[in-house]
Amino acid sequence: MLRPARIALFTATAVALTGSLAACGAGSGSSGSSSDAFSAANCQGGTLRVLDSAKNDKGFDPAVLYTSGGGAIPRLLFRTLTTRQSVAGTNGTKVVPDLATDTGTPSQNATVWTYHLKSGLKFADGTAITSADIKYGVERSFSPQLAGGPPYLRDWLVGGADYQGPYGSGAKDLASIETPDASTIVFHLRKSEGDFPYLAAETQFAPVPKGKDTGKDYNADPVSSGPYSIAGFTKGRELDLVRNTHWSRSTDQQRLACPDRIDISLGLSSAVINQRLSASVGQDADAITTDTSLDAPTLAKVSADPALKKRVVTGKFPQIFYLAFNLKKAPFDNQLVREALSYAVDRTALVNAEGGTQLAVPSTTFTPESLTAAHQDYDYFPAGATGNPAKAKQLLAQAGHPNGITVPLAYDTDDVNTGSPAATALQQAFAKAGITLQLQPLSDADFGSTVNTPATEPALTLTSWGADWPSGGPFLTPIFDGRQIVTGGGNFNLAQYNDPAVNAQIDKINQITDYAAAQKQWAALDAQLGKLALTVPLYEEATSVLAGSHVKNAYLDQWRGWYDIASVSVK
Amino acid sequence: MDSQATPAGTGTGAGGGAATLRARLWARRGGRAALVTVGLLVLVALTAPWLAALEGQDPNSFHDTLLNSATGGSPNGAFGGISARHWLGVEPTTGRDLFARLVYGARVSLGVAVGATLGQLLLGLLVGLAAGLGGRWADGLLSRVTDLALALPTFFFSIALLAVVPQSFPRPLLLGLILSGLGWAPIARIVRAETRVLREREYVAAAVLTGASTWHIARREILPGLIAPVATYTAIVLPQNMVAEAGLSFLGLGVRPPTSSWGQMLSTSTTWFQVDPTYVLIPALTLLVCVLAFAGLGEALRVAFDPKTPAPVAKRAKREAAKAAKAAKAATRLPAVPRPTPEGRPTAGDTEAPANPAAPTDGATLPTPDGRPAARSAESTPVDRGTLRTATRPAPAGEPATRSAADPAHPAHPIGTKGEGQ
Repeated sequence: MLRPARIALFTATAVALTGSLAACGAGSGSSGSSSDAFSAANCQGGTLRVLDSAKNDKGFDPAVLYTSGGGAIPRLLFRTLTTRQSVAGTNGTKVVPDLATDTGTPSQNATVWTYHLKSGLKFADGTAITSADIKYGVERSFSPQLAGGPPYLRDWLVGGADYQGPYGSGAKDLASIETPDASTIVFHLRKSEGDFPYLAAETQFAPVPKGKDTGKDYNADPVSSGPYSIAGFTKGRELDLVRNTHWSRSTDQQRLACPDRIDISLGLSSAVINQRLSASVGQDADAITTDTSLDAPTLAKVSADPALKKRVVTGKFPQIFYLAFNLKKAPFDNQLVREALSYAVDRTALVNAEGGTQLAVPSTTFTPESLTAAHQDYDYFPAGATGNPAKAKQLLAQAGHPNGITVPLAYDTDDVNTGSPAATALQQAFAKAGITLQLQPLSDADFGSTVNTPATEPALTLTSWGADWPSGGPFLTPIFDGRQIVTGGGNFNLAQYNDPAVNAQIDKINQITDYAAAQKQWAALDAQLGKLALTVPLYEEATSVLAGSHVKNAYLDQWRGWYDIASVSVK
Repeated sequence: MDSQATPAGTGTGAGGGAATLRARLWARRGGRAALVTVGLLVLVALTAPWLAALEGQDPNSFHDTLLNSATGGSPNGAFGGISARHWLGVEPTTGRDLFARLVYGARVSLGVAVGATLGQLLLGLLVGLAAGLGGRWADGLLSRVTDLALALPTFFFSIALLAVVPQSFPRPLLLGLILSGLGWAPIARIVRAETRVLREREYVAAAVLTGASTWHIARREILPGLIAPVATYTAIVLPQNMVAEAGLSFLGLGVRPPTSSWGQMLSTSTTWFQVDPTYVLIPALTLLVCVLAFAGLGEALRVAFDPKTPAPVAKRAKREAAKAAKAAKAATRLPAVPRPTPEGRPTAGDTEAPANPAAPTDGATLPTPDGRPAARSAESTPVDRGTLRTATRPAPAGEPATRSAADPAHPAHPIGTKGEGQ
């Protein structure tokens, strides 16, 4: 029993020490980035290193990837009908044309969407990209052996619910996708969806040449339509990208593709990534990460070092962490009890537990502030900065619980090392209001199957929700639309709230094709639902990431809150 | 071993034996330090709530105001926020008091370690005794089971088991059960080997002849003889269990928040070592000191039980019974005089060994030629077996009363060939 424990401890220490030595070397050596300014016209060259904790064991099959706005690395390999705008700030949430000439032409009350392809588009093997390739790419994603993509296509496309993909004998194509000519593609939806241009930015809309499709093995070496193609790929370890010579900036306004090569190390531990980036020694000066945020200790270190501080990039991905009530279970069928919990919350302790104000921002609204267009401020049950236990007690007494209540709190804790700081913080704050929280940690796998199945859903769950694209639609619909209660599992309407009036309201907003107008409606719906205390919004996550000292034009896009890898330069 | 001496051999009883052992432990600086440290740690664990109250803190209260939220929630002030109100500072990102968490953590760390060790001991004794006293088949079977248990990669097994058992099961109890369920094999082996040696002794044979049951023999004849090796091994296993608990807690498989344990404190603190070294050093040093103290205690116990070690006092036998009066009588009749051994140390070779136990009742500590506390007894544990034997039943007629000074560990003359093999 003794030895393995020791080994575990010693390994951790060794890693930590190595990191500390490296960090010492860097403190004085690398002081900020190179002085000459970034110029998009003259940024090409060099090798960008990427240090990632993701293993990408599943490779890069555009049908299987579940990415918001194309993801970081997939964006380098796949072009889609539309894509996100490559700029920092709020404008990064805008959808712009990519392979298509515009973001789509809606007709018949936004149930038919038509796209025209740009001319001169080519795959990495030199063949032209046609609308049939895009149709085939979408069809593949319906195949059971390539499951994993977002559910919207199956839900929205006419005939999508029963379609089984293009493989096997007797397989048909999907009639609701028409390709009248090589550069036109038309999608027929079974209901109005003003957000279709946002969905068209997902990798399922990347072209796949039918002749090169290898089915399940396609993920190791997909045919690139983006600025880079795969030169070498060891799943779980390493991915090397080189330029796709058939890609051209003349047809692509969103990707700068500055580096000649991109070397991606996979499966690193987050502590190692942060240490290497802060040290920025040798090749690590040209490094970024696409998935590892600063943790609280590194943040504390960085704050004390002005040179390091300059290399921190911050941004936000619209994701809310919240308490979900199960309205089917006592005592949360009573709105007074739900309000009591809303008053008892100590958001300052929660933010600190998550690593302070640079990593989390308190939120009293379900739609967080970073989803700017769909955000409307409200705070119906003001808990103040650190909670209002007196008011909570009063409400509990009113609800018939003068001696307080005891409730279990389910939460996802695959990060077992730290337990869940947020759950502990909640427990501590609720205790002051006479609410005893029994912590019920669930492993990642158990969490999904337990919480998202209505029959087994706990009374109270600490969970989070992020949007698949920056719109109130995908943010609110799965959580509050009563028709989205899935009894078999995969249910996200944890309140199990079903109000026909709200459902009708959602349908109405989905018909609006004007983004700004639709978002205003979503914001109003959120504010209206907030009064019912169906959830307790807690905080939204902020991202702080380090970049190597030679890296230029590194910013976080607000669609996903991560580096836009296609814009980064190391020259 | 005349019948008169027999009761005298047990004269000082268990209390006298423990007292002597204590004296022998205390006589060495290392043993003294280990004893004091272990005692302190146990005291800290027992009085955790009062210690925290003395500081005016509790282990679970958050203190937002002591943290700098803009710098990752690190504590304000030097050395992790050490102050008059927070003696060891506060935990980053929560502001919980580290002193209170440390003293409460002692309960889990020590509790699990002690519980697991007791469990291992119980299982190991049962299996070892059964194998040692059982027939060929029982021994073969149990020994193979023990081998199997020894061959298991116990740490990985505990990880797997801890991950499988539902989270609602009380974690400290689960940790104790798993550690003892997987760690009993070495003790069983030691016990079996010792038992096989002891069962060849004539006094055991005599017990068998008188028709004593196996259970009686195990309890009355064998068990006392096992105390020395088992107690020593226990003191060595205990810190191992403590480290195992810390390791499992470090991996997040230990107690659940908000309960604290040292391993868990170490686990959450490691990432902070550059920014807040105090936070890491507190649980790390505590664990280090604790494991060192127990290891030191184990070593001291081994030395104290070792008949070759000079003892501060002559001593006793460790069985019940024994009237003090008879002991006193024996003592007057036969004063304890240490005899030089061939190694030049005063030690066991007293032909009148059974009389020696009486000596400590007089509190006699005789200086040895080399200046050490002396009068190493005939009653070092192995010798106890001898006294024990005589205490339990009359020695077979004709058994020589002399003990071998050269082999104090097995002073009794073996009937068979096995007895001398230590």
